[in-house]
Amino acid sequence: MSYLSEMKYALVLFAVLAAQWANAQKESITFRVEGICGMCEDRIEGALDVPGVVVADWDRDSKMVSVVYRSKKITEQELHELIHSVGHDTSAGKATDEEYAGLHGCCKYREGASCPNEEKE
Amino acid sequence: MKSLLLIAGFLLMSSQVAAQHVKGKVYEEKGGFELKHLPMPGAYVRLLGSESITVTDAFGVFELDGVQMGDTIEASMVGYEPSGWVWEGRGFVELVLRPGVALEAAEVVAKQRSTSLSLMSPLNVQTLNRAELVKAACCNLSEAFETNASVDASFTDAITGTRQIKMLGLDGKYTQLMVDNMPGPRGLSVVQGLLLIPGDWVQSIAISKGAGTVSSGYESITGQINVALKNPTNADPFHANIYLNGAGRWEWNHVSTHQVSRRWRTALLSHALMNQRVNDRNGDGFLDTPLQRHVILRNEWKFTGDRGIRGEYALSGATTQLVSGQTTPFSEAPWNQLPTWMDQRTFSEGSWVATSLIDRLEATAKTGFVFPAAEWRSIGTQFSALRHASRHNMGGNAYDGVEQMFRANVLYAGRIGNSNHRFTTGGSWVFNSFDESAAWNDTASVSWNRVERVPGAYFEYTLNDEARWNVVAGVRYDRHNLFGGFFSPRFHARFSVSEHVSLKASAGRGMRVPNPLMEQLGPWASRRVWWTWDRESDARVPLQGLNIRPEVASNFGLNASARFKLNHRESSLSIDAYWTEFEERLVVDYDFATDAVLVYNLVGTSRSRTAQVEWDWSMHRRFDVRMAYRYVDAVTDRIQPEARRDPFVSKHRGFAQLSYGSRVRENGSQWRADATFQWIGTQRLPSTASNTEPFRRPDESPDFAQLNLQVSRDFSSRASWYVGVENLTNVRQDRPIIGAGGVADADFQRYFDASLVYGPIFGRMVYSGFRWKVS
Repeated sequence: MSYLSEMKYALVLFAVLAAQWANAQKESITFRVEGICGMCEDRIEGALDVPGVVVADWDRDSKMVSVVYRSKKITEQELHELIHSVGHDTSAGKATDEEYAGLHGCCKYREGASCPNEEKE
Repeated sequence: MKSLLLIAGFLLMSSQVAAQHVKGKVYEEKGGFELKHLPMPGAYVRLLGSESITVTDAFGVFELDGVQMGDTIEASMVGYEPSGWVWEGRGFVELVLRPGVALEAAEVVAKQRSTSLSLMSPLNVQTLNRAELVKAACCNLSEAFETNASVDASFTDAITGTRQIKMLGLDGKYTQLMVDNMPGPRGLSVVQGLLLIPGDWVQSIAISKGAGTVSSGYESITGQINVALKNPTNADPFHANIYLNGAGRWEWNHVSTHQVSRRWRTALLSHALMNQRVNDRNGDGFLDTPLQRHVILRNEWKFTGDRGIRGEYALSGATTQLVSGQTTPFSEAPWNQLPTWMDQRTFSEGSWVATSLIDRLEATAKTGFVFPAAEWRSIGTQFSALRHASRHNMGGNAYDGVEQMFRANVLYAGRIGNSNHRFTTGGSWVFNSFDESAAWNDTASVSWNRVERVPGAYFEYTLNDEARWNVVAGVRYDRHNLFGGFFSPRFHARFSVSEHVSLKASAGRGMRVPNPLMEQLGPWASRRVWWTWDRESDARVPLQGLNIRPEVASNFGLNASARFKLNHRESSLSIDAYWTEFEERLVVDYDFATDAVLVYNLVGTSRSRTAQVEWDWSMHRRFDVRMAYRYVDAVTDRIQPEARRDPFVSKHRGFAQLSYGSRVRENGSQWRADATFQWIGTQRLPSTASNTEPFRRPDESPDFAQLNLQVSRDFSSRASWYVGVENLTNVRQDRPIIGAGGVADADFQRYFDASLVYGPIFGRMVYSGFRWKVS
C-alpha cells in the first residue's frame, strides 16, 4: 500500500476546501478606534473574534482597525457595536460610560492616559 | 533619659540624610547567556511610598529628587519584572529590567507563533517555544522533535528503545548539541545524552541548519541545536508535571524558582521516570519497551549584579538504569537481579538480557560582564566540567566507558566604529579523556584510552547593514594534541529582497573525533562483532587495529524564506537546500556480513544532499496548518560498492500538522488540539541475504505513515491536562528482531540481530498528563 497516493487525495481535498473558503463573499473596511496600548489592541481585536470576521488588526500608531469580514454573516454596524461593548469609541459611535469604566487604568483614552513604556515598539 | 537620647539621635540622623538628588540608568536585559544590556527609554522610575515618579529618556537615564537613605527606587515597565534598589547614598544608580512577569492585570500577551523562523537572522534558525514543545507531550529531548520537519528521530535498536536524531540526512552526532549555549550531549553521551534532558525542563529549542557560529567550538557539521532550559529568571515559581502512558511509563517533572536575595535567584529542577511494565505486543518473546528508572536533578543559581556583572552557575546529576531483553526472567522484580545480570557474559546462561547504567555529573559556570558605559562591549567566561560513566551488558557483549571533560571559554564582544560592525573573539581550552573497554562474548575485546587537550582561538565578525544585509563570518583555529591543527572557517549571509522575502547562504567546515563504540548502539543488541578493514591485505582485522582519525566535513546551504498573506491571514514559506561533503569519515558498515559491523576510515566519497520545503499558514483564528516535505540523498563509498546508499535514511518524508486552539477565556482556560501526520518513505536496510529463512529481511523497508493526536485542556493559566495518542494507525515494524520467537538455540546464537530498526515497535500508545504551576 502506498501512502503517497492517499496523501495526494488529501492534498487535493484540502486545496478545494481552502479555495472555496477563500472565495466566500468578503469585504474589508478600515475605521478609527480610540485606544492606547497593547492591552487595548488585544481587547479590540478580541472583541472582533466572532464568526464572520476573517481578520481584524488594530494599529496602535494610526488608531485604525482594518477588518475583513463576510457581509452575509455580520454587518459593519455590528462590528462597531462589538468594539463599543468592550469600552472603545469608534468613528461611528461611543461606548457607554459603564462600558468605558471597565477599562484598565492605563487604557483610559478619554482622560488622555498614556503608556509611554510601549512607545518603542 | 535613654529615650530622650534616642530621639535626639534620630533627629541628628534624619538631618544628615536630607532628601537628595539621584541620577541613574535603566537597562533592559536581552538574550540568553550572551547577555546584552540595552538602555531602556520610557521606563517608569518611582520612589516607593511617595508620589515621586519619572520616565527615563531616550538613553535610559533618569533623575529623581527627594531620595532619602533607605528609600526604594523602583523601575518598571509593562512586560518586564519590576526591579528595585534600596538607596544607600550613591549618586548614580543602575537598574536592570528583565522580561517576564508583568503586573497581573496589565499583562500583554502577544500572539506568538509556536514555531518561528527568523527573516532577520543570517543563520537559518527555527525556534520551537513552549507552545510547540507541549504539542508532543515529549518526555525527553530525543522525543521533542516529533512535531518538527527538519529533524528526524529514529530508534537505534529494538531493545533499549533509545531514539537518536538525524539532521540533513546525517546522524545526530554531526549536529552540535548545546544546552544553554554550553556543550550538550557529545563524546560518549552523544546518543544517550538526549535521554537525560527532560522535555518539561526545556524552555525553547533553537535549530540552526548549516555551519553555525565558531564561538562554541569546531564540532558543528550539519548544524547546531541549542536547548534553553528553564532557568531561575524565566521559569514560574513552581511548575509540576506528571505523565503516564499506555506502556506503563510514568514520569514526574518539577521546576521551582526562588529569589534568595536581591542579587541571587535559584532554580531547582527534578525529573523521575519509572517503567516496570512488561510489554510484548508482537509476541516475539522480547520486551517492546525497556524497563527503566531515571532520576535527574539540576540546581542553577543566577547572579544579577548592579554593575553589569551577571552569572549563571549550575550543577546537574543523572542516574539511569535500564533492563530489557527476553521477557522470561521478568516475572520477578528486575532491579533485584540487576547485579547478577551486569556480570552475565554468555548467551547460554538462560535468557538474553540487556542492562544499561548511566551516571553523570556536570557543573557549569558562566559569568558575564557588560561595560556600563558601553553596553555593546562585554566579556564572558564559560567553564564546564563533567564526568559521564556508562556501562552496558547486552547479552554477552559488555561495554564500560568513562568520559571526563573540562572546558574553558572566554569571549569578548565589541564593535568596530559603530554598531553596524560587531565582533566576538576569544579562546577556549578543552581537556577530554576517554576510557573505554569492550568485550564481545569473550571472543574479541578492545580497550581504548585517549586524552585530548585542545587549545583554540576564534574571531567572528558580524555586519548588520540596516535591514538589507547581514553577514556573520568567523574563523577558528584549534590545536589538537593528537590530530594536529584544525582550521574551521564559517560564513553566513542574509540578503533581504524585500521586507517579506529573504535569502540566506551559509558555508562552513567542521571536525569531530568519533567514539564509534557509543555512537552506534544498534550492533550491541546483536550477534555482530566489531571489526575494522585492512586496506593492504583487503581483509577484516580486529577492531584494536583501528586508527581513529577525526571526521572532517564541509557544509554548504541556501535558503529562501517568504512571509505573505493568504486569504488575509499570515503565511510563510521556507525552501532550503544543503550539501554536506566529507573529507574524512569513520564509516560504519553493516553490509559486509550479518555477523559483523565494520568501522573504517572513508576511502572515496561520502556526502548528503537535502532539500526541504515548509509551509505554514495561520488558516483561521483557531486553526494553524503546517506542511513540509524533505528529500535526502545520502551516499557513502563502502567496501561493497553496491551498498552505496546510506542505510536507515528515508529519501522522502512528508509532514502535515493541523492545530486548533479555542478562544482563551478571561481566566486563561482554553481547549487545544493537534494532529500530526508523518509519512516516511522507504529506507535501505543492510542486506541479510546471506541468512537462511526465516532470518532474512527485505533489503528495503516499506514506506509507512504515522498519525499522532493530542487534546489539551487548560483549566486556567495554572492547570492543564492533556491526553493523546501516538501512532494512532498502529503501524509496527514487521518482526523487528531477527532470531526472536522461539527458535533453536544454535540459530539464535548465530542470527540474533535487533539493530535493523526502521520504524515503530510498540504501535499505538495512549498517554495522558497533568501540568500545574504557580505564577
